[in-house]
Amino acid sequence: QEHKRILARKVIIERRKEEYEQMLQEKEKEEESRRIQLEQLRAEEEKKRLQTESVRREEERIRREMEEQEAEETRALMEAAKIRGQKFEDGEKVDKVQLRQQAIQEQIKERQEQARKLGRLSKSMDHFERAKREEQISMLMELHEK
Amino acid sequence: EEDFNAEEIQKDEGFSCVVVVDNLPVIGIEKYEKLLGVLKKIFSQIGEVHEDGLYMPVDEQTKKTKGFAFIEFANPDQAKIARQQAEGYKLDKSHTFKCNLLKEVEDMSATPEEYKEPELKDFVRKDNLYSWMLDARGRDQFAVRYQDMTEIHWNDPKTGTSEDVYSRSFWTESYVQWSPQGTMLATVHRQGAQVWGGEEFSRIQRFGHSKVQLIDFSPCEKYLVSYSSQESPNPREGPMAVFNVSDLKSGQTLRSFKGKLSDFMVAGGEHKAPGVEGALQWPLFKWCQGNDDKYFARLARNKSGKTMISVYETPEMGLLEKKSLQMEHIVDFHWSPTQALMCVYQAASPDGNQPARVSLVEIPSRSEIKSKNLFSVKDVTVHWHPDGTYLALQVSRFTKSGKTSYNGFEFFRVGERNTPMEVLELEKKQEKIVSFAWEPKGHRFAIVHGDGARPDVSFYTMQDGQKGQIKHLGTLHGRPVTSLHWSPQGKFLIIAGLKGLNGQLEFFNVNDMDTMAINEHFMCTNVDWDPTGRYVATSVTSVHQMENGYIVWSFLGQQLYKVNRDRFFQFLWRPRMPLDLGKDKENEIQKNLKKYSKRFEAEDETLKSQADVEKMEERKNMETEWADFLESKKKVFEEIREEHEA
Amino acid sequence: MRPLLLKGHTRPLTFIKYNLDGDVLVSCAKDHRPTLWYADSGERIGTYKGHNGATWSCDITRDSTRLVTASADSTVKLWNLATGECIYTYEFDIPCRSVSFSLGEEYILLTTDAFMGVPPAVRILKHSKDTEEQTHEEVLLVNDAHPGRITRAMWGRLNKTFVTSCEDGLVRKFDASTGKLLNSVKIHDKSIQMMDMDRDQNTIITASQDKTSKLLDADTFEVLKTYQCDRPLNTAAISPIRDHIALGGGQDAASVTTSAGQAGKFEVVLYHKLFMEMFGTVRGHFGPLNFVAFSPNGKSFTTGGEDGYVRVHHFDSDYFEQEFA
Repeated sequence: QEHKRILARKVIIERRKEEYEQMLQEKEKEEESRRIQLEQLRAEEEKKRLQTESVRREEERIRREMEEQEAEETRALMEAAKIRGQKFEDGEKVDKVQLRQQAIQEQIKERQEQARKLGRLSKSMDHFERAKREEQISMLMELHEK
Repeated sequence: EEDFNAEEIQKDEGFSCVVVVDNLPVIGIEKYEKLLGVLKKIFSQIGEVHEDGLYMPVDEQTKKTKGFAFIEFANPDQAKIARQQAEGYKLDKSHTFKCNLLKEVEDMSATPEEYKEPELKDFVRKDNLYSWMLDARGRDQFAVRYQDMTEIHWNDPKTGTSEDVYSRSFWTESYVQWSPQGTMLATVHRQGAQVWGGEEFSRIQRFGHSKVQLIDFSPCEKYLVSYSSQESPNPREGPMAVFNVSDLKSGQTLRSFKGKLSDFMVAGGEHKAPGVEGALQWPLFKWCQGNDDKYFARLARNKSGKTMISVYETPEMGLLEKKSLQMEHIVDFHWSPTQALMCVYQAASPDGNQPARVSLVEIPSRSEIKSKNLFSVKDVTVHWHPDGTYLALQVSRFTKSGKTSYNGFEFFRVGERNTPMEVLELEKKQEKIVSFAWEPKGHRFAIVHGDGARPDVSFYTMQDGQKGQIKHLGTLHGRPVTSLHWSPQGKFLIIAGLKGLNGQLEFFNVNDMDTMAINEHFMCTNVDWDPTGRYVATSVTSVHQMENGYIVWSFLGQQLYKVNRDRFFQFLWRPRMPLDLGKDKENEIQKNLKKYSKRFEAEDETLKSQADVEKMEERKNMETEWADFLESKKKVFEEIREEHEA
Repeated sequence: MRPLLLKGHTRPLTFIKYNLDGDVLVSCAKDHRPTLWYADSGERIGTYKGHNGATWSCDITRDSTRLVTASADSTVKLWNLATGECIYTYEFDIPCRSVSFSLGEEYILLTTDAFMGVPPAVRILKHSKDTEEQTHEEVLLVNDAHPGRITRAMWGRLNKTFVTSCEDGLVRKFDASTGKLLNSVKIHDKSIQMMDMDRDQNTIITASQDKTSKLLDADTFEVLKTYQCDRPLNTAAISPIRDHIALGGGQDAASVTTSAGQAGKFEVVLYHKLFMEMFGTVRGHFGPLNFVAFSPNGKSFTTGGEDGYVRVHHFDSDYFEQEFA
């Protein structure tokens, strides 16, 4: 009887043990899966962070480049303006739009000046030719008399 | 292409197709169309009247017809029939047709009767042949030819148009040509050539030469060379050619060269059988420039078939020192534009023992002042500077493999002591050379190079600082260009993309390396500068069916006026005789230019306001006329209304 | 100038007619369907369905109730202008080209083309305002006066005469009651493509393939003005308010050698009527211009092209202010 009871108890203990192990295993598994999930989550977050970071950096780079380009253009416009005789104070804030406007104006002026110059040239060429022809008249009359 | 047109006209519009009808009523303009309609009806029944082939001359003063008409038929046979049938036709009681072929009329007038001769000469002497150079406003003339018309105009940009000088239909049977100094205009006819000049464009001289095809003047206008060819009566022989050298003053033929046409077609280095050398080079006889028309020369072959240059001396017309310059394998020769010096290009000997060779030979001494051997040559093109100061050789050479070729330039500084030579190689030697052009009155040149549709244009100078070397000045990349046209004064250049490139014109200032204007003359085929470089004309000739006509521009690229003419053949500025006032006089003018300018500007201003006044007046007249017309219509309307209401 | 592009036709335009008030216009094209538009906005009101061939011309009654159209399908149709309902069809066995109502609208002047050995003819048809009474009655036939296609026929003053333009370059005048030829004058070297009359019937304007347009005295056919153009002309119109005319044409599609738009010369060209000087061009069409018509108030004009488009052009205000310079 006792033996039977002990046997039964043993069985129960065995079972409990098994149950316990099983529980432990399940718990471990659960934890494992939670850990993996967490890691995944973290990795994703990290990825997202990196992505936003790179986007931010890219934007930063573009902005910087644009600024640099802007500065470069402004500098070039300033240089051109300096050549034209415009003076700038050290550290003076200059308006690029205004500078560009000035440059365009200057270009138009140059074109007009060029056109005026060519117009003058055209006139002087015409007048020189006509003057020469006037002076040639006596030569031609002599030729005709011959 | 121009020659082809000339041929066509000769066939189409020969005088033998034209009937002259005399004894027509003399009528005012208002009845012109009506009478023309009547004539057309009558003559269309007899034969095929040429489109636009009816013409009645109108008297400028009376504004009435002159009582005769020209009727052009499709061919000479129809004209003959028409003449017979219409002779004696009674138009009405007082007008009976009298008909002649224009050819007969022309023949009659072309054989002046004996006693008239001195009178004619006297008349010519009175007429000032230089009158056109005396224009008070310093204008230039040009000739245009379209359909059956030849017209002479003053280019008059100050009034934005041109002014008629003279015009005549059927003046020439093929083409017209100014003499080199512009004194006269030559016309070409079946019976020979004629030259015209003076204020009224009266005939100066005739040159009988049956079926003449091409003519050429000597540079100082002393002689005229004419050429004709004709099928030989023996069908196995090729065509026969006649070249006449005539005295311009007397009209006498001084020497005739006759023979098989093939014997005159000499070109190329290798000995070729007669008749296989291709086309006749024109001018066949090349005149030595700037030497009072002393020498002329041609490329010929001696009895053993070797090439030689035959130089003839005027006025005797004999071979210089009775012998030709014997030089083997001559491809071509070119006189200097200013002195008795020729550049002779000989090809390599076929056996390869002798390379190609370019030499400068002085005449009459025949001494060679410079020469250069050129190896692996494919072809050489010779470009003399218009002042004769430089000579450029555009040399195309075979690569080692012999399959491809590359290009380079060799320069002779002819104007300098010992004629130094220089070589120019392009960066990309394989590139095609599209065009080369010297700057007149300058020391620059331009090259169009590249293989695509948009080649590059590079500029160089012969005078780099103290060194006196060739220097690259700059390159324009990717231009739609087929040819370059320098102003005769230099400095300005038109970069033109003609024909297939739709006629884009870039007006370029080489001094500033600046584009002054970009314009388009759609389908443009020709670009011609006036003799002064103040104006330039572009034209579309009848090689294209549409858009025919011309535009005159300022050298800056402003369009001044445009004229459309169907079947447009020629635009020719009248050359101007060079008259040297001397450096001193020119400097003096330059110094006093302000004074001249003031006067010229005032003159131009007056002209402009006068033109404005005239235009306003003309318009006012038209408006008054119109008001009268409307008034008369009101009456007509009233009458009809009354009638209607009654 | 603000152009309105009217899309509706699929084939080349042939004719345009404003009503008397100028608020609507009808366009005819080779696509069988005449179309009604608001002249000011270019809005399409509707099409007239019934023809089975190209429509060559049309006319509108003074009260804007009726439209008459002539078609290559050998019919002339009367329509209710507003509803698009076909009221009556005159049936022939030859293509019909030019139609116009007489003064009072009792008659219709019609031209028919040469076809299968039948010569080109001018016909006068009876027109009745009362649909019930409408019959196919031909009161005059002139079929022996024209050697080629009659491109347009128009009534003379008080319906006493009518005038024709012909491919042979002639204009002719006939007695409208007898059909007798009263006058014929060769005006052009090549075909007269179209002609138009001013409102007072004082002058006629012609457009010819010979690249000229001429203004004639409508009574005597005397040539008053010649407008030399650089293109073959298809159409000409006289401004009702200013001394201006509008011309159009261009190289036909087959002979246009390049794709460049300007090469074909498809612009409308405006000339001063008295001074014979060109003062403006209006671009727009991609093909030759087939028809141009001024609005009755002269403030706009409409063009029809080979390209199938109708364009309405309103003049800028400075057009009315500026003197001719």
